[in-house]
Amino acid sequence: MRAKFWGARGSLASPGPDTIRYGGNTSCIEVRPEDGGLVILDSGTGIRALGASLDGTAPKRIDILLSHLHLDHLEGLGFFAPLWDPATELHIWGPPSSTRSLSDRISQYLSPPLFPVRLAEVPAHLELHDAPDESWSLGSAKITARPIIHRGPTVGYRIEDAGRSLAYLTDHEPAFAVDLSSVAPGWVSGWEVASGADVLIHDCQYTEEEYPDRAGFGHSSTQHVADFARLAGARRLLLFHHDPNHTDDDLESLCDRVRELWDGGSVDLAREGQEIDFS
Amino acid sequence: MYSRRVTEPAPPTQRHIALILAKDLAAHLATPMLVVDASGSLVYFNEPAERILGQPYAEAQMTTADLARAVKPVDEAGEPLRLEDLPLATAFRTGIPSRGRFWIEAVDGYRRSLEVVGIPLFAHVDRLVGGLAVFWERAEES
Repeated sequence: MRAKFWGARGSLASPGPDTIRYGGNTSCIEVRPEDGGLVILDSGTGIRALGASLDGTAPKRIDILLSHLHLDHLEGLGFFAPLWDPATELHIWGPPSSTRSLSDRISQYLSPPLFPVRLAEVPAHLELHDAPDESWSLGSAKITARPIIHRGPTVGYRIEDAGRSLAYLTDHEPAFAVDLSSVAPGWVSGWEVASGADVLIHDCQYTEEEYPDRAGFGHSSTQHVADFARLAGARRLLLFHHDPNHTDDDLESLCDRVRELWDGGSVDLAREGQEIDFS
Repeated sequence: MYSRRVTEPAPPTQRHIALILAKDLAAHLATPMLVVDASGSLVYFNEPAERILGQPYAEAQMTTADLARAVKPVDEAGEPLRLEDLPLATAFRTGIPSRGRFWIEAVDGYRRSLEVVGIPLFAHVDRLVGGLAVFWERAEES
């Protein structure tokens, strides 16, 4: 299994001289299981460049796993080149809602006046799925989705392939309801998805000083992500969903702080363009 | 056959976030509340509930059914109530909130008159993940 980051920024695309090292595009990760399939985590602005990179090589079937439908995870979808190719079979998975279908919720953005074309008009063959309670297979990869604490229906994903595992909890505030320093793991949002993951990609939007004024917004501080990684027993932690107000230097300070707080595995900042080989 | 030795504890399973949030809500309420999981097992009751039930949560270590038996619920006429007729059990059975008014003999020996609402928690339309019982002591009758 391989993965490549096409966007690691949170909330709002933030290009500019202060964000060059880690990138300004919002959430999008390309995952390539051993069987050569294409699974994409979220369709933030980073998915545009991913689509362009597939020029002529896109597989017929593509699966996009949406963590939730906030705009920074969805707004690139209309600019994903395979969406405009009638040969594409595009499966979109997202968090279930008890009141509205995934199609209805995505269409709220992909329709006028917010977008010029309606979802029903795109050339690709679209199939939309509520992420099921049970794990499911996409080619050689096993996918597990579980609801996690954020604002509105949100899931964390675990992808297992060829004996390796990737956990993706991009917008997540596990400390919202519990004290992570003392709680049993079974009472921690996202623990099941992240437990023992080879690579844990986790929200680290705030410093510990910033968090108190943003508690309940659905994101984590450096302390929270360190505590969560310890509870999960992750081997490698990649800090993700970088705050749009944080410069590259700010992000490196956050990363240093998480390394101080947790030494159970390696800690790095997710970086646009970064590739991970799980073999 | 089985790689796990019987002396090795089973790995913990994660509670549904609806239960995590319900427990957090209960912990911050002045209103007595208990939380059960989808199997009906007691997973938490808050400090105001401890006062009414007459027992600290940490010492309870019992199922919801055990707790209901321990407090000997009786109706207004003094007739014992069947456990399956208590509000939370009714809410689980019917899938909608249920209300009841009855007396208990708390674990600390005091007799108390309660108003109880049992609420089933559905994470999705068809998936019960647990329930809440919210209760009030009717002070004028206790």
